[in-house]
Amino acid sequence: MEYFIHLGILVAIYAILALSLNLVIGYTGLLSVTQAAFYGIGAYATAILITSYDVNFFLSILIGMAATGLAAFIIGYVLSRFDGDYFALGSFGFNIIIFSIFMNWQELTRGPLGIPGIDRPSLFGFVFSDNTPFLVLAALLAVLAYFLCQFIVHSSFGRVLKAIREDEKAIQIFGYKTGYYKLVVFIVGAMVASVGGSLFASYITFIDPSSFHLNESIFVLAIIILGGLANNKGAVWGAAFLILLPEALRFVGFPTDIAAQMRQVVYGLILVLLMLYRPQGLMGEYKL
Amino acid sequence: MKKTLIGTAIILVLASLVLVVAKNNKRTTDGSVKVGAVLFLTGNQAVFGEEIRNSLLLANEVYNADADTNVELLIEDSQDDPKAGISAYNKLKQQGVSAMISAGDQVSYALSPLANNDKLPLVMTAAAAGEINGDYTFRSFITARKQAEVVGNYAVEDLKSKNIGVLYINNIFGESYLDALKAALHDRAAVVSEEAFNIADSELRTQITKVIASEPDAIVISGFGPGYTTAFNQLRQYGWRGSILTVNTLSIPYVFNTIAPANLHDTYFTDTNFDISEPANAKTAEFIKRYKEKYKTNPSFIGAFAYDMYTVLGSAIQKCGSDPEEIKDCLLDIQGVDAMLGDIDFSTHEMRVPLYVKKVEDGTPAIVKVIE
Repeated sequence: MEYFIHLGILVAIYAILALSLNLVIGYTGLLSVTQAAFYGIGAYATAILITSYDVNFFLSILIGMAATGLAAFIIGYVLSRFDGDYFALGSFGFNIIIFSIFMNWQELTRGPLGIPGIDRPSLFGFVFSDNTPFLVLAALLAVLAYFLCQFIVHSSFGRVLKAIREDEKAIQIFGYKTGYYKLVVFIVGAMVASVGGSLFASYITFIDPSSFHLNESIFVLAIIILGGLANNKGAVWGAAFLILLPEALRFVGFPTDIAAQMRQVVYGLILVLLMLYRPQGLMGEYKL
Repeated sequence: MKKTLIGTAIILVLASLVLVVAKNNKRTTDGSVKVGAVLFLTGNQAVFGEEIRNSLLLANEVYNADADTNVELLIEDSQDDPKAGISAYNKLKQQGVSAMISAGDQVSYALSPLANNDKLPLVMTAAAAGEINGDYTFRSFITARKQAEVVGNYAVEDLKSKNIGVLYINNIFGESYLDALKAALHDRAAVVSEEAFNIADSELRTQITKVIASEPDAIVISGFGPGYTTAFNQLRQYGWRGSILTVNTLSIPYVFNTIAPANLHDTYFTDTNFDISEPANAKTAEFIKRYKEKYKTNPSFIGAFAYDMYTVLGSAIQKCGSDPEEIKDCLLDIQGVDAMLGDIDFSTHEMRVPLYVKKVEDGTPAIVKVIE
C-alpha cells in the first residue's frame, strides 16, 4: 500500500506544478520553462527554514510563496519585454540562472551537497510522519490549487488571460494593460508551484539542485501538453498519467539486463503515439 | 464529458496494472529471501550502475549455488533521481524484500531515512559523500573523506607540498572531497586554488589556467566522467609538469586507458587492493574471470565493492534468516569475512578496506604507500 500512497503523493505534487504552469501556458499562452526554478525556490525555502530556523512547515510554505513571488516578479518583469519564442528562451535562461544559484550559493543551499534531514510537517502537535496523512495533506493542497486555478480562469481576470492568448493586440485596443495581467498570472503561477516545492522537500526529506534542473520544467510542460492545455482537469490527469505510466512499466517483464533502458524506450514511444493520435492532449482546449 | 471518461479510463487502467501486478509480485513461491537493489541503470552514471548490477547478479548466482536459503535479487532503476529512487524503494518494499541495496549519493541520502523508519537494512554502494545516519544504514564504499585524508597526508608528508591546487567535480562527491581535503590539510598546507568542473565538461582551460596561476606545489583532481579525464589531459597540455594526486576513479580500467600515458606522469592515486592485472587473491582472480566470461568486459573496484558487500549480506541472511531486524543485527555482528578487498565487515556500519597510494610509472601503477 505504501507504494501506492507514495505514487499518490507524487501525483498530488506534480498536479500542483501542472496546474500552476497551465495558468501561464494553457490559459495565457506564455511559453514558460521556468517552473522548476519556482518549484525549487519553494523547496529550498522550506528546507532552509525547517532545518536552520526550526520554522513550522505551514509557515515555511507561506514564506516560500512570498520568496517565489518576489523572484517571479523580477523574472516576469524582465520577461515582459519578450514575446513568443523569445519569451520561451528568456524563461529558459532564468531556469538556468536559478539552478546555478542553487548549485553555487553554498552558504545558503549547501550547493551539490544538498540539504538532508528536512522534517515532515506538523500541525497542533500532529506530525505527518506517516505517508497516509501526508497524502491527505498533499491531496488537500492539490485540491486547493485546483479550485484556485478554476476560480482564476472563470473570473473576469481569467477571461482577459484567454483573450491575451487568442489575440493580445485586439484586447489592448479595448484598453487592457496586458503586461500587467501577464505579470500577475506569472507571479501567481510561480507561487502555486512553490507550494509543490515545499511539499516535495518535506516529503523526500532531502533536496539537492538536481531535482530542479531544466529537465523538470520540461517534464511539467509535458504533463500539461499531454493532459491538455487550458484545462485544469487535464493538468491533473496529465500528472497522474506521466507519474503512473513509468511505474506501470516497472511491472513489464523485460529481461534484467535491459529492463531499465527498455522502460525508457517504451515510455518515450507511448508519449510519441499519444501525441500522434491525440495532439490536443487528453482534455485539451488549446494547442501551442 | 467524453474527455473526462477517456482520461479516467487511462488512469484507472494504469493504476489497476500497477495494483494487480504488484499484488502478484508479493507472493513468494519457493521460500527464498528477497533482496531489493535500487541502482542507477540509466542517466549520467549508468555505466557504473550497470557494473554494480552485473556484480550483484554474479554474486547472487555464486551465493545461491551453495546456500540453503536462496536469495531472489530484485533490481529497480533509480535514474539517479531521489524521487524515482523512492518509487523503486516502495515498489521493492511492497514486494516483501528483507534488505535493500542502494547506489548513488543522492538516492541513498533519500532512502536512508525511509529504511530507518521501516527498520529495513539498507546497504549503500557507490555512495562516497556524507556520513551514515541511523541503525539500519550501512555503506560498502570508500568515503570521499577517507580518500581526501589519504591524499592530503601524502601530499604533505611524502611530497612535502605546502600549496595545493584543486580541480573538483561540481557535485556532492566533489564538494565532500574538497571539504575533507581542507580539513585533512588543516594548518600543514593551504588550498591555494579550487576550481569546479561538471561531469560532462570537455573544455577546462579557464579552470586549469587559474589553478596553475596560483603556483601550487601539487594539484589534486577529484571526480569522474568525461570532465575528470579532460582535467588530466588538459593539465599537461596547458603546461603543468608537477605532481597530480587523485581519487580511485583512476584505477577503473576504461578511465585509465582514456588518458594519454604521458599525461599520467608523476600521478598518485588512492586505491584498494583490487587490480585487474595482478589480482591480490584467488577470490579476486575468480571474480575477474567470471565477470569477463559473462559480461565480456573488465570489472573495477566499483563491482568489487558490490560483490563483496553482497557476500557479507549473504552471510548475514544465511546465518540469521529473512527477518530484517535479525539481518541488521547480523550485519553488525559478523566479523572479518574473507572477501576480495580484504577481511571485511559492517561492524561500524562502514566497510573498511585496506587502502594504498599508487604512483603511475611508465604508464603502470605501482604501490608507493600502504595505509592501515
